[in-house]
Amino acid sequence: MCLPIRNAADRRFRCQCQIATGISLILYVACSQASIRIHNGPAGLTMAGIAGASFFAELVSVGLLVTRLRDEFQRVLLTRSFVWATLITMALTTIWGFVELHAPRTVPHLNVIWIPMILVVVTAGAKLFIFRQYRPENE
Amino acid sequence: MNNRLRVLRAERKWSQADLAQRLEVSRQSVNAIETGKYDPSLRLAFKLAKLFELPLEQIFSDH
Repeated sequence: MCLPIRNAADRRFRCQCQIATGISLILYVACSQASIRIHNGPAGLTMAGIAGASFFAELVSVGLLVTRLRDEFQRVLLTRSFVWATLITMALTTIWGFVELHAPRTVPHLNVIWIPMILVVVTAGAKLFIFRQYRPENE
Repeated sequence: MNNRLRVLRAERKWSQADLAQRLEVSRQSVNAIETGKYDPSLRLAFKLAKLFELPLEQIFSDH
């Protein structure tokens, strides 16, 4: 989502963070899928390691964006979006886990690998919803 | 918290975008402060006071 940031430093920093998040997300998907197919040996472990590191990098870039943005209101909205997204993702996956445990035939198994992807999608939705609430009206 | 941002801005014939540029924030931020949806930090409040050349209490009030 494009934030109307006037400050050039903020805009540049946001772009860098978005590029880092995009690359780490692609790496995460590619390596986690590869590690599912390569079950044994150092290649599988390496793929899993890269997937884990890229997810960590994604969280770090989000953290940097939240802490270093100079526009404090944008920072508040971003933090609110990430907190809501984390809570919703945790709630959804916990409920899914319990359903899987007590009624295994009703839902398919959700691999842990998909949780970061769910977090990304829910974060995008939360950002859209929260930023729309504060969209400035015309003067 | 109430503020006179809209009035002070109008007196100077500044748009929200003009004020946002001067404060180095987004127009969304200026709008949120003006409409009372967001109370700025002390840092931003002092920046506003400096920009309008007024003491804080002439811009913000708690009633």
